[in-house]
Amino acid sequence: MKKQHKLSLRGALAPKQSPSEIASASPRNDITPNLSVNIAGIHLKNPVMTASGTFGYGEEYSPYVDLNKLGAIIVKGLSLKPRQGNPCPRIVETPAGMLNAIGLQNVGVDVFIKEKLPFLKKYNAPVIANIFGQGIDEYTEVAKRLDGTGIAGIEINISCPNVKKGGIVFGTNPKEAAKVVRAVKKAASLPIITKLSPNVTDIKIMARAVEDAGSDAISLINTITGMAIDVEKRKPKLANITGGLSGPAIRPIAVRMVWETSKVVKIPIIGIGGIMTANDALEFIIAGAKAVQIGTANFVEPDVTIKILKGIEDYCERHRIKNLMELIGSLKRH
Amino acid sequence: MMNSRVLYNKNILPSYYKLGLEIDGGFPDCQAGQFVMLKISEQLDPLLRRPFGIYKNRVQGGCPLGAGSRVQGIEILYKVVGKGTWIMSGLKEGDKIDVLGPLGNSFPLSDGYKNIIMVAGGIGIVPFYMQVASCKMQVATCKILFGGRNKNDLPGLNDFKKLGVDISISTDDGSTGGKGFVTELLKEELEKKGSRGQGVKGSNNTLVLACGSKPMLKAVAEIADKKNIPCYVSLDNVMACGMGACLGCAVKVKGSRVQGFKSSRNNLQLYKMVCKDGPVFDSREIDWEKI
Ligand SMILES: Cc1cc2nc3c(=O)[nH]c(=O)nc-3n(C[C@H](O)[C@H](O)[C@H](O)COP(=O)(O)OP(=O)(O)OC[C@H]3O[C@@H](n4cnc5c(N)ncnc54)[C@H](O)[C@@H]3O)c2cc1C
Ligand SMILES: Cc1cc2nc3c(=O)[nH]c(=O)nc-3n(C[C@H](O)[C@H](O)[C@H](O)COP(=O)(O)O)c2cc1C
Ligand code: FES
Repeated sequence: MKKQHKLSLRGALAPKQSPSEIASASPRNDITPNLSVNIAGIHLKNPVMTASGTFGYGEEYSPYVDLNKLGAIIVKGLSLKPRQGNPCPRIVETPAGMLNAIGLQNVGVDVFIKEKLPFLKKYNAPVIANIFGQGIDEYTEVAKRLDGTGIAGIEINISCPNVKKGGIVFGTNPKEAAKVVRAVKKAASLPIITKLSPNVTDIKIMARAVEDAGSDAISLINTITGMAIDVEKRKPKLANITGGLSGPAIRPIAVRMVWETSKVVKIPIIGIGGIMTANDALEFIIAGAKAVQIGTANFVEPDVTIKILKGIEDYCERHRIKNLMELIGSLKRH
Repeated sequence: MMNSRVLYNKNILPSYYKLGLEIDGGFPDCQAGQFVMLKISEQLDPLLRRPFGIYKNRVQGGCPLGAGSRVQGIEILYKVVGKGTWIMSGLKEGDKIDVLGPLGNSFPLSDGYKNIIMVAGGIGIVPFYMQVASCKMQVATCKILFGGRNKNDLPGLNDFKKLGVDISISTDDGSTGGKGFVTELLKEELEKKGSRGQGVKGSNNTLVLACGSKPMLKAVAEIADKKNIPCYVSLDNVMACGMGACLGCAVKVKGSRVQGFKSSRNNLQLYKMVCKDGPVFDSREIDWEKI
């Protein structure tokens, strides 16, 4: 390939602020806005959390992020026994996103409690354990072992599309999803967040089913099942053939699902999907999410969570919003 | 993570470029084999950072970043293969680019080895510029075996000639050096050294380091293994985070026992992360069948 001079990088290297952010260097409030929220009894200093599987066990990111500043830390999905995960290649980049088929590789709940949790406890951000199982027994056993360890809550992954025997059944079937939620509720006295799969026809049915089963909050969305093919080799780009799509490409779908869900449930909603900037996070909050989780963006910019938090603060000051609660679900009509 | 300034971006051979980056304070402790993750574009496509080895490090000497100036930084040697590297080739002096690093482990230091043979295929030459410098400090003799498809596939050759290091070249088409694969050079070299296996005089003094395509690395690992010569390889894999968080850059290993894996099937660790456990691995650790 010859050197290409035509390509302009002016756009590519422009400042990261959006036009609206630049335009509004308007007068500010004197009072710092109150960004704290309460999700299922878990007190968050601010609504910015890390999404499971994209922030390791926290330690990986501690050189780049002051973990104390985070609303909450959600760790990589935990199963009863350690899991090796899928063959390689496990990830592939797609336009404005990526497909992953990690296969839920994790250290297992016991090693997490013994070796990973003590590090996280040094910080004051609440730790939420994401759990999954191959059957209801496994979910409840993992939840039991986590109860009383000092974590703030449990996020149930009923939606991972990667592992054939894994969450797919629970995540797409309202009755099965409700069963898991009920069982985990019974097994542990911790607040329970149920993480929904977008790979369903009607997200509202799933949301209602888990609310009725006693879930204290809902987080959505998990990744959307996708596929990419190497046309030269006529082979799937992932060894697992299909994978979960994440990143900005999925954001409009996630915002729509949060908005739809917010109209049918009373429990708090945590918005997830392609959040890269404060404005992206605000879309979810205005659509009805009480908090947000940042996933793939951590890979691109390790300290993106802190930047998003700062951006939300700035937005509230600019719009004279004293309490984040004023903004949640504040979507106006056209 | 830091915003660095592009000092230069030179086209040195068809598809190959050298990118000089000014980095405040430099990377004083950086070792041969380590890499950085570059955020090439502020756009959402390409979304992810791209990994690149550190070719030259000004702080450790030898990098001609603005000769005579006090500028600290690194030099990246890269090949245009796709969208991200194509965008990189358009970078100009003064452009800003976000650098994350240095990341990963490094090649073992001489550890008493007297002969270090470095086998590089094409862009796989990158980690060896700094490795030669550290070999020299440790009074080990080093030899570079450099293979490419043709004479335009030997990036950085002049830099190594300037270092005065012993270098043998092979190209698939014979346009420079001997015709054939670089692995043939390795076989010859090991014959010369008379290192035919453990116990034979000299064998324990030789160490093989390799970086290049997976088939090349596999062949090098086999040759070294047959001779019972320790061999370390630097692996390449698609990455998302570069810091052990996404578990995307896994490589299959032969399995080492780990605590917590209880059932018999599960008590072996089957995958390691190229970004965190590597990119440099003992070649005997890798499950080459699955590469
Ligand atoms: C630790 C490490 C150090 C590296 N050091 C250097 C270096 O010093 N110089 C250099 O030129 N390159 C280096 N690479 C490879 C470099 O990261 C890739 O060439 C680059 O990411 C390609 O980006 P792209 O957007 O141009 O290509 P894409 O459009 O993403 O892909 C183009 C083609 O290259 C393949 N590909 C992409 N990334 C990789 C990869 N990491 N490994 C194998 N195949 C890949 C894709 O499958 C596709 O076929 C290194 C990789 C690693 C993991
Ligand atoms: C590499 C990777 C690993 C993930 N692992 C998990 C997991 O273990 N459990 C889970 O519930 N979600 C997992 N997810 C889904 C994310 O938590 C998140 O729901 C999804 O990526 C969408 O958000 P994003 O677009 O901000 O990344 C993972 C996502 C990625 C990219
Ligand atoms: S690139 Fe994320 S774990 Fe290696």
